[in-house]
Amino acid sequence: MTSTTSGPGAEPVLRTTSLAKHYTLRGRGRRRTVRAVDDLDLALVPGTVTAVVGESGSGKSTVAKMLVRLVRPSSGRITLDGRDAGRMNLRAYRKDVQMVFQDPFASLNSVHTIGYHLARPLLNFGRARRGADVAGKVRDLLQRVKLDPQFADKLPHELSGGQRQRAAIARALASEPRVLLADEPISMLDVSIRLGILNLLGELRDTDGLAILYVTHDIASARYFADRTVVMYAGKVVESGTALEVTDQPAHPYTQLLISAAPDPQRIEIVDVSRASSGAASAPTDGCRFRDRCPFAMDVCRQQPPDVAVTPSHTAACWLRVDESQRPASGREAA
Amino acid sequence: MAETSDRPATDAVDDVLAGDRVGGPVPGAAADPLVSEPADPGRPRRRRRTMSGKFVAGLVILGLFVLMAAIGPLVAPYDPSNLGPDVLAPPSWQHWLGTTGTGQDVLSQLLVGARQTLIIGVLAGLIATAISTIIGVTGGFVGGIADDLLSLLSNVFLVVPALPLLIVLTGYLPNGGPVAVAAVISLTGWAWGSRVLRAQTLSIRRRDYIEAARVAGEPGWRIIVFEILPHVRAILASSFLFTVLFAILTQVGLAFLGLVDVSQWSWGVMLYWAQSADALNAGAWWWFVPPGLAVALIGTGLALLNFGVDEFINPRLRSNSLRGRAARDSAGGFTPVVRTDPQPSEVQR
Amino acid sequence: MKFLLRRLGFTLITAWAAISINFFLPRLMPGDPVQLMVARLQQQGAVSPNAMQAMQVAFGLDDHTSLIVQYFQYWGQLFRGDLGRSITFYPSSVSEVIGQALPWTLVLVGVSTVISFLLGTVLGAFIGWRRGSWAETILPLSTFLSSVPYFWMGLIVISLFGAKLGWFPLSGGFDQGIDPSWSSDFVSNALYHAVLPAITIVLSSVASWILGMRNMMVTVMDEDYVLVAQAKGLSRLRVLSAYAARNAVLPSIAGFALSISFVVSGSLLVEIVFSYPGIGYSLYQAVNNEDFPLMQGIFLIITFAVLLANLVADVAYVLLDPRTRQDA
Ligand SMILES: Nc1ncnc2c1ncn2[C@@H]1O[C@H](COP(=O)(O)OP(=O)(O)OP(=O)(O)O)[C@@H](O)[C@H]1O
Ligand code: SF4
Ligand SMILES: [Mg+2]
Repeated sequence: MTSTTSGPGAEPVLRTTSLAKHYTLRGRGRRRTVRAVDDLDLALVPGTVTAVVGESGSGKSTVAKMLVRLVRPSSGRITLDGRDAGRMNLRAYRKDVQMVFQDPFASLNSVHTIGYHLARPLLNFGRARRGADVAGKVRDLLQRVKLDPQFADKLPHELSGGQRQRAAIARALASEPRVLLADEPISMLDVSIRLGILNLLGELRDTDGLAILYVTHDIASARYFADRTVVMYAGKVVESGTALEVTDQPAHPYTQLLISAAPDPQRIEIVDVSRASSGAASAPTDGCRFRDRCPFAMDVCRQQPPDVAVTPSHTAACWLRVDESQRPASGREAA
Repeated sequence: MAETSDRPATDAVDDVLAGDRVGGPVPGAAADPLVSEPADPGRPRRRRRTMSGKFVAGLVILGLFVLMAAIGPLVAPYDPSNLGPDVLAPPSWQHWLGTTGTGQDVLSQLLVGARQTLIIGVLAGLIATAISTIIGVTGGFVGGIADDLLSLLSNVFLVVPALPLLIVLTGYLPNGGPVAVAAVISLTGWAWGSRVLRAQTLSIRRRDYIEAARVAGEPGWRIIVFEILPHVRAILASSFLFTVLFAILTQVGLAFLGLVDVSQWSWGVMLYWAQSADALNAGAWWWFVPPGLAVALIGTGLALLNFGVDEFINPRLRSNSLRGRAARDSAGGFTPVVRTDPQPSEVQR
Repeated sequence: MKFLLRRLGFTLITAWAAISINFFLPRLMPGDPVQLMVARLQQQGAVSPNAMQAMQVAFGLDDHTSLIVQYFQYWGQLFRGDLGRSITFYPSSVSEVIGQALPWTLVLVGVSTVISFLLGTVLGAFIGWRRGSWAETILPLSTFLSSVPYFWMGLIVISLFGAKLGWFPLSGGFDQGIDPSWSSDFVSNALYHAVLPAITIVLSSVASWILGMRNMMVTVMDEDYVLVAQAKGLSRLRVLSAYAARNAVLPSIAGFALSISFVVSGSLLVEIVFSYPGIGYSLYQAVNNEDFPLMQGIFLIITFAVLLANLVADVAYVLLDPRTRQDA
């Protein structure tokens, strides 16, 4: 019943419906709720890369961690092949859904060899048997990420950042997953080797038909690498569409800001954008969350803007896209 | 539950225990060196090579005492229980450390007693550290109600005064061998280590390599044993040394009260006999000074070793301010700069 | 406020745990030491039927009542202040014995501990502040002192200041000739006797406060707010007292919980060496006479005292901590 086709247009393998994560912070005396992610609908399709773009604190990592079930959603549903993820055996689920972490210096345990890091998931997910079998499979994995098999005996600190990230990708591939979540996989790496990692992921998408979620704060790399791009601001999706549409004809004022901040959206060697600007943390939680920073903010923006279709494959959540006559008469209720 | 982790005093105690600083988290500088990263990148390795003088001094002192425990009974000039003709004799060529009220040779008792004293101390340290690892690391890792209950338990054991409890316990128990004494002592000595280990575990259980291990399908017990424990080795060592010191002091106290088998020579038993024969009023300082001094020296050795470990954990503690600051910079200096790849060309394309 | 309430809750739970340990210990122990003890007493004909009854409740010798009923009876006795009868001081009750000994211990150990804490904290702050200076030569000595058994320190102090120099009395809490009263004669005589034990306790415990405070100071001195305060040109003394020491002392107070039970344990043994009429010496006598009711009563009382001391430390913590004070 699962569709074997891959590439844009195929059946999604992983879906989310109205997914949300709210953290309750217990400060001294008062409680505060952080709406890290709200109302997220996402579909990951085999053989495609979906980019989630947003500045620091916009909830990107929370999305990835919910999808790999490291973080329990506050509400909403995740389905894998139409099956409710919350009811699936955790190991069975993770056999199909794997994750690569942002910092390859932190995601590998400094006391274990690369070989150990790869052998564990091979054994845990039943992809190899103890003994010579594991060693062979470890070598295969290393070759797939274009690392010399002799790296198996090395400790993480003996590897460069790029090599470590390749090892981390190899570990995620060990279970032969169908979905790969990559949380800013290149942001901690030297500019000169970023492209190599992205190309490797691209190859895996094409050869294995992996559905890849590419989390990034760098919209230019999304244009280069992704098939679809989803832009998040303060936990909410503000715009989504094909990567080209979103970067070349941004429809949401926030996306436009992101792109104008990027020195050259056509090129991949992008410096970190908007690392420092984290207005997201203090953003309003009702209406358009971007309105404090939006140059076009109007009274009506106190209400949640609808998702407006710009093209059939491109939507943006902004009142500017709604015809003036269609907007609710508002402004009165401004308390 | 009454004890949860977000209370100021508890956190502060944990800070003390971990040899860490007060106040909120300080990026990199103070937070990271706490966890021993034996081979971490971006962090010069030379720091680990420098062993502080205290550490070496501690090693030497302890080495001597271990040697004493090993060969003491062989080289003792007399049978420590043998009654001799010279009663309460001050140190002489015949009896280097004098004799007791019944003419026994003090030096021989000291040499023979070292073994029992050390065995009980180390044994109690091992048992207590095992208990604190199981309770502390599991609690910190599992979290939730289980953690609340386990840390309540260790907090209770932490404040209940150990000696009176031990006195009641050993009073009821028939005088047992060294294993029984060690077991009873460790029952009151595990809470401290448990607190420290829990605090450490809490601080690393959300690290990326732990979450990555979960994603790689590792079961909880494997994460505790193979991912977390290697990173709390320094704390483990420090808590072990502390517990050994506690156990030696405690058993000496118990023996002094006559609550252990006083026919088995240990330093505490020597003090018991000296006290019951009123060596003090007899002016026989050579009788009660050596065993107490030996205890204090062994304690000093353990404490020095512990300082070495503490300074490894928290390099700022080093005495020499220049060295301290240098170590701090190299160990914790956190640069919010994208790490550069030293050998970009190595990746084969 | 919430913090203090939680600490109070913890104190109650610990007290409950200590009481329950006390109840269950004699009932769960292998062999029957209590039975033997009672048999021995009966042989001596020293136990009245009434006292016998109380003992049976306290130690669960009564096979006819269930454990639960015994447990409640035990609590009932506790609330009436009845801890059973002492064997050593028969026919005195345990409460009477403790009531006589406790004030001596409270004053001696309480005062010495406070002195030691203050002295150690100030010294430790100073040494940590002058890191790398001559002041650090104290550290090796402190290390040595912190590993000395308290009671052995007592032996040394007695033989030096008592036996050799003859400055202070060797033992006891007061001279035999004087009757305990609030007369100035008696009080000064008691103080005279308390000097050596107090010196012993301070000498043995001060080192760990010095080391703890020094370590906290060294760590705090590098914190940003201290560096900023220095950069602002505040006087060195002000930086030391208002910024660094104040923050460094907080964990010291919080660490009080760890140390106090250790200090108390050590001090009990010091009393024994000095034959000081406090609770430690009573404990010693109880041990020598296998006086289980007294031992257990003393264990309870000491635990309560330590818990109380911890509560006091908690209040001090709240008063000193700028963060908790805000919303207290
Ligand atoms: N465990 C947590 N407890 C409380 N709040 C959290 C927790 N994890 C994340 N948050 C909050 O949720 C929001 C989203 O965090 P998240 O890490 O998902 O952002 P991000 O987009 O990945 O940012 P970055 O680019 O910095 O990685 C932030 O405001 C963060 O403070
Ligand atoms: S809805 Fe209003 S505030 Fe939000 S982006 Fe559009 S114009 Fe700006
Ligand atoms: Mg992130």
